[in-house]
Amino acid sequence: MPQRSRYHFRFKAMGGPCSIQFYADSENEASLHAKFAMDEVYRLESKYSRYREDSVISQINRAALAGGEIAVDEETAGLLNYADTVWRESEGLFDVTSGLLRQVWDFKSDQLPLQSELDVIRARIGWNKLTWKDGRLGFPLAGMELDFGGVVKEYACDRVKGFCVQRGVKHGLIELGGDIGIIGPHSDGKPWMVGIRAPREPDQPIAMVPLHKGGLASSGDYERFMLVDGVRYSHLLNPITGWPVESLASVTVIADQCVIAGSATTVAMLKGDQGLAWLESLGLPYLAIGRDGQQYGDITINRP
Amino acid sequence: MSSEIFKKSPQGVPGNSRALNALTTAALAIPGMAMTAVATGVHAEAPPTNTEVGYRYSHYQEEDVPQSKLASGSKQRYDIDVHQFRVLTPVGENYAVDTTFDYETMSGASPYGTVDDGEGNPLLVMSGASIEDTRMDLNVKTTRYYESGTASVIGGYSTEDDYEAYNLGLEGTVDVNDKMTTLMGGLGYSDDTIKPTQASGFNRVTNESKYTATTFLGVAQVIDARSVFQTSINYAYSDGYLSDPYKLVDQRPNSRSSVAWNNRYRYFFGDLDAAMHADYRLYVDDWDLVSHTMAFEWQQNIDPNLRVIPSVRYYSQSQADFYTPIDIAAQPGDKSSDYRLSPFGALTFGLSAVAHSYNWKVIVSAERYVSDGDLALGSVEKEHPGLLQYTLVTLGFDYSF
Amino acid sequence: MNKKILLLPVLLSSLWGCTTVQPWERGDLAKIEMAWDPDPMKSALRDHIYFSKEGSSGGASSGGGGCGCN
Repeated sequence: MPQRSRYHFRFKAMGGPCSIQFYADSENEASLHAKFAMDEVYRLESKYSRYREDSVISQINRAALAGGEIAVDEETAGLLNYADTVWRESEGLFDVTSGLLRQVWDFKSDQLPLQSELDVIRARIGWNKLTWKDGRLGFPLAGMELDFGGVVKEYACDRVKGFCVQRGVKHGLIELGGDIGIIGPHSDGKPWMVGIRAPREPDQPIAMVPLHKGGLASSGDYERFMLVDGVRYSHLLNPITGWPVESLASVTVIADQCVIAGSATTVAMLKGDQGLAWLESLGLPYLAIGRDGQQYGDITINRP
Repeated sequence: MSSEIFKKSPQGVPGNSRALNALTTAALAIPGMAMTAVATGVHAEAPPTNTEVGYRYSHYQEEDVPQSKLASGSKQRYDIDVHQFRVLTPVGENYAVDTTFDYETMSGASPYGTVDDGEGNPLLVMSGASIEDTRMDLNVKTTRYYESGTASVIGGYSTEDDYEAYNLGLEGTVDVNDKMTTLMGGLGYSDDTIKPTQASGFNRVTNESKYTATTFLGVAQVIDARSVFQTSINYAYSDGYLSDPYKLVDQRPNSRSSVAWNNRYRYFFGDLDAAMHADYRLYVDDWDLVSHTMAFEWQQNIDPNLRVIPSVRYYSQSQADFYTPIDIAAQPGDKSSDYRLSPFGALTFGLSAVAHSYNWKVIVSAERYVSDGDLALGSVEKEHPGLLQYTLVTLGFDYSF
Repeated sequence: MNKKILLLPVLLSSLWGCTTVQPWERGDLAKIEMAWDPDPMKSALRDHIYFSKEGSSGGASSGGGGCGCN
């Protein structure tokens, strides 16, 4: 049996640092896997990038802006169905049409938007304001916008995870901008140790979590925020009110699929003081940190 | 850690959360997640994502006829080499084409018939000279994968020095009941022509044909997280020349209807990292031949790159109603002394090893086949002298890219 | 023969009662060693050999062409 070595590849994608690690018999084999993984991440990035004119999301948004209709491919349809499910399960808090709020919330300006501005924008936000049926998206209301930012990164993690397993990779980990997918434990069967950031000192790990499989996602109010008159306004915006939520400071969830871990954390943050109840109801291992620094949940349970 | 934490759902163990179930179902329904679903997944079929090529070389030598059972001719039976080639390739996102090509060469003597040894027992008459033949078989199966099912079209052509066959097939599967159940069915048709060699010298037929129509229906069921079961009924009807032109005395009915009831069970032993396969087939036809086949296979993972597979198969058949152990040329009506229509039982012991990495597999396997009158379920009065023994050795690889 | 064909719907209805195994619990079932045919080329060769040396045949497929196989 040849000696298996650990290979580590770093790259930039999906707006952040990414890395993939795995055990392979040779550098040649490892780089083949890595190329395959990166190609898949780049494919999804370009397919769903708002910054590319030819992306699927840009095509959809041209139809949305004009108040038209558009048929989408199967993969996009699957993501939309998933987004629809999360929207329903979160009672409208997770909404792929909420990206428009960025137009009035500028977290670098240290200025709050006017309520009148917000009201104008809010009128064009709401998953229930568009039609989604038989693979076709319809926008009866012109000027809406879709954004898959809250799903694609985690979905890419799951895809790479699946590809690698299918290619026979048994030991590895992929990280895309903080979201983690486990391809399989270390070659000796030991779990990967994943650090969770402290919300007020993002460079400090507050806990180390052993992971054998599945995915892990985190969300925190530290990612983007502004202080106005001593009040902290985070980037976590309630799509219904248009205002930031008084959320937990950070949430980390482990699930079999990264997309699920991602949705679970995002919704927990958006739920505000109901966040903990949501996490409990899911029954997934989690670690939540309140704004007072108190920790909830137990994430170290992660049976191999 | 308190014991309370175990109420939470560790990965893979679903909680009672309706919300989590809804999210998971929606996530796994994203077509691209099928990949993950295969890994974490379902027993339903998913289209291949890579092209896979495979090659197998197999060799087996049928053992010599013991002198005590031979009346005349060569005791040396067939020596056979088979080269199998396969390419499975995805076409677009929803199609796959599976092409197989077999190249088989055989040489040796073949049984012509049987004669009385003077005490009422049969002795084998073998052909004198060695017969050489080559078989080539091309089969193409195109499958369309749907959200909950597959549809396949199959076309094949097979040729030998004295034989030619075309076949067509349609097969389909439908997943129902949350993909817990798969219904399957198919139709097949084969058109075969035989043009025996040395026809004039032996007073053989020169050009005969037959067709065979088959249909099958089946159901596969996920029983629990570690076992699956499949049962199917296969009906076949052949019409035309069904005799063996190389036998000195052989006349069979010109039609044959058969029903085969197949059952397959798979069980995964998580703590042993092994899978057990148990198969049973009951076969009945209107030539009065009944057979039972039982096969067991143990797929044992030794380490992440090696699987070892011991197997055993038991087979027993009754005789066809027109079978005669000793040829009687003058007997009117249907008659045959073919050992394949005689009552017997057979045992096969096999051992395979599969070494695999991310994109290749190497397969080594050996099988020992023994057939004997004493192995039959019922008692056999006069064992056919032509029953076979052989050892089959296979070497091969699969490569995907 | 009629009796055997009746078996199918009977088995089907009894199997329907199996408790649902959620898609995410089916990991073991998806393993190659749990496939009906982990090595289709090997099964194809076996079927061909047994077809040529025994008096019966027929499986869960539409079957291929025949052979001389004397």
